[in-house]
Amino acid sequence: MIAEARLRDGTPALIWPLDPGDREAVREGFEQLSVDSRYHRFLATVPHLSDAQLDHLVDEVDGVDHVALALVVIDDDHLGVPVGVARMIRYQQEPTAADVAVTVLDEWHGRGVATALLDELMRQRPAGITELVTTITADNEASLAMLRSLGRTTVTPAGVNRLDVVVDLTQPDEPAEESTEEPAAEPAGQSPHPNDAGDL
Amino acid sequence: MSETPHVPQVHDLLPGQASSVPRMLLDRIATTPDREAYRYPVGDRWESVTWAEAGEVVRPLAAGLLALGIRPEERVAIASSTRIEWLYADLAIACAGAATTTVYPSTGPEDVGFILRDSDSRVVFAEDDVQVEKLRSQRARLPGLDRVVTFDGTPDGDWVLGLADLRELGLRHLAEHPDAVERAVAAVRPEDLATLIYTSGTTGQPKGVELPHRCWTYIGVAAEGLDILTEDDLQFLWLPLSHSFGKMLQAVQLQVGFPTAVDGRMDRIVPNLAEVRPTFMAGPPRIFEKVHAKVVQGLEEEGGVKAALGGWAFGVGDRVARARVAGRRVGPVTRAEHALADRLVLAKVRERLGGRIRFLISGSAALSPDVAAWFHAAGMVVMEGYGMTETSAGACIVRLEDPAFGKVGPPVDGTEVRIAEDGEILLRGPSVMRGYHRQPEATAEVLDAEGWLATGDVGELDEEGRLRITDRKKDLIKTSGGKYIAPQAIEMLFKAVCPLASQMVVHAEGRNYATALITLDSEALAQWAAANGFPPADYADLAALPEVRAYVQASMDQVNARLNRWETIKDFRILDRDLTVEDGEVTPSMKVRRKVVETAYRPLLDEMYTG
Repeated sequence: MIAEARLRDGTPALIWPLDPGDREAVREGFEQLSVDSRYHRFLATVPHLSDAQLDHLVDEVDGVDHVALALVVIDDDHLGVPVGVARMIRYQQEPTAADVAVTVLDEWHGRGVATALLDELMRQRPAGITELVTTITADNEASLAMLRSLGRTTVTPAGVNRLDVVVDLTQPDEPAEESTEEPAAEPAGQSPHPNDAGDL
Repeated sequence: MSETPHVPQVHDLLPGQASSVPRMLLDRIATTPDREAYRYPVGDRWESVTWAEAGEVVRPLAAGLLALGIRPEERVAIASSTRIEWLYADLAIACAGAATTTVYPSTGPEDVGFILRDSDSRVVFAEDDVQVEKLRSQRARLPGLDRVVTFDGTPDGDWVLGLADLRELGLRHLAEHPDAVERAVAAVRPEDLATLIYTSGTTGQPKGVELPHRCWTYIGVAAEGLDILTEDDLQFLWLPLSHSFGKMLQAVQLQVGFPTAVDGRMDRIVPNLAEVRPTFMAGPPRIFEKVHAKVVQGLEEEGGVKAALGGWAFGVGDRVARARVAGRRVGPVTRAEHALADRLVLAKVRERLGGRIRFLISGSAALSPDVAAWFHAAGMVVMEGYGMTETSAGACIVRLEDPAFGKVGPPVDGTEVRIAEDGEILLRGPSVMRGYHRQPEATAEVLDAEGWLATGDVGELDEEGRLRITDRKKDLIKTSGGKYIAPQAIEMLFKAVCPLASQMVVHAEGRNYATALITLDSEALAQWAAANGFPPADYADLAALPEVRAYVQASMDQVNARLNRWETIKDFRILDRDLTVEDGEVTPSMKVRRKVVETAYRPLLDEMYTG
């Protein structure tokens, strides 16, 4: 199912399910990420995606327990440019809980890509998921703000610079008073260049 | 009337340092009234204003703010992207003796509400109707916000004024009080608040960084003292002015007097560079990495001769650049080769940035030394700098004549750097903030009575006094000896050196030295085993081979040779399986959960600290 979306500045975009044909795009996109973005994504240093990692991140997407969406921006030449990926994966031992991860190319941070992806991901999330359970770096406030916007959020410190985050999707966080604006993808603290907003 | 929680230091003005930002502007207008000040896009062309003309735009706007009853040091916010009106608004605020609060146009309504409330902003310049709407949604919670002045949005004749309305108010005010602006400017003192910029901390609400006028006027003279810029330079400015890095460039311009072409639209950077042909530009590392990646990829895609030519040209460029840094002259053959390389390849790379770039300034994050060296080979020095909002974005910068890649240079004149016992970088000087807005405890946490600011970054100074940033403190592990260890940097080194590596968890928290748990990539391991004549076996058996251990140890030795003594990995264990989702060591999306790993392998870790 392909969804249409608009970024914060009005840029038109399409969101579609990742399929095995996107393998090379994912590999190349990852190569373009800054060191910090990679670290935020995997909470570890990952110089390149290995074939085993790509198997998991692309080929194992089944649309049932593992939903992955790519956001593609239509450029001036009407060509699609993939700029971000978001995924939810069900925990096998805990079928109502899913992990969540979002990656956005650095130069697209702060433009609403992650927010658009998460919105759509929430709509297309694996059936029966009522809880998101994940870990982020404690300095990744943009991601925490995005997670908080999805529901009641519990945060537990998990060692140096790590937070375990649980979002109860059945308990909306205090409603974002019918504003048309998106939840703070960029925290009020404001990163230098929209640099922190995007990798979760 | 000062709202400063505590003023640890009062800074005397340096020779040539103006007393305030508006004084810098008025001096600049008086010195070079007819030189170009700003260039900005109008439709598909660029228009210019001189300093005198810019002054004529700013003066009535400043008077308009005075007419609205804005008092000295009161906050006026700007919620806009980077554009000429941003600069006019900011200068008008300064000329009214007020202080600017910056708001990113992308900041959400709640956070905008927080910033405007916390700063007590009385007027907001809002770029367009999107920004105005955001303010309207918060209006009920912003009783102190008297007026909104919009650049492009729709005025409502009441709460929302247009820029022309403000100007009209100002002209009327000036008719009655012709010297109102000059008087307001004369009253501004160096320690008065000029700018309030909000930054996020690790916890809690964002904090407003109070930067008085002397911060910016100091940045101006300090930059002038570097002797790299003149009135004849041309800056291309696209950085967000809501951030201190962008603000800093504005202060430098007022002091030195070069023109600035301003356009904050990211998608216009490349065409703008070709149109503006600036002599310098500042940006975060990403912009330079992107140029590098594009060119390298382009050469690779052309393949064959072109790719070989590119490789050769950059090799020659690199040799010449390094010789220049070392103060060596190159021989006639290399010179001839370089001329050819330049004509065929390197000049074309410079052409992508307009062709006239003398140097580039990189800040706000670490620039890869490889990328810096690549630009240098192409004939463009990237001067890497170091600073934070709390130091008005300035503190250290690489010198043009001494480009040491991977370092952020010595401090600028008037700024001191010290490395604390635990490795943290401390800074002192006139660019240091006067404190966090109404947060004396938070201020006391980072600013001591002698004026030293604790940066939260960790680094070291070389013999020549050049600073190298090694890590951010918050991602560091503290050993029982009180030393910080940067796991991310160690992991990166290890994975670069050891082709078998899959995961590495560095362990040191509360221990007296560092150790690591390692997993190997099963495919790479199987390949290695086959290549070295071992019969096929499963992962656990191969990982347990003494030869594998020796191979990994050799990689670790290489890593350790590049680390500080206290960071070295004294011992490690290769796990008999990779981290798994089932055991919660990685999440289903493959995020490593360090704490779970450390807990699961506690006995293995303890073993490395006994005996």
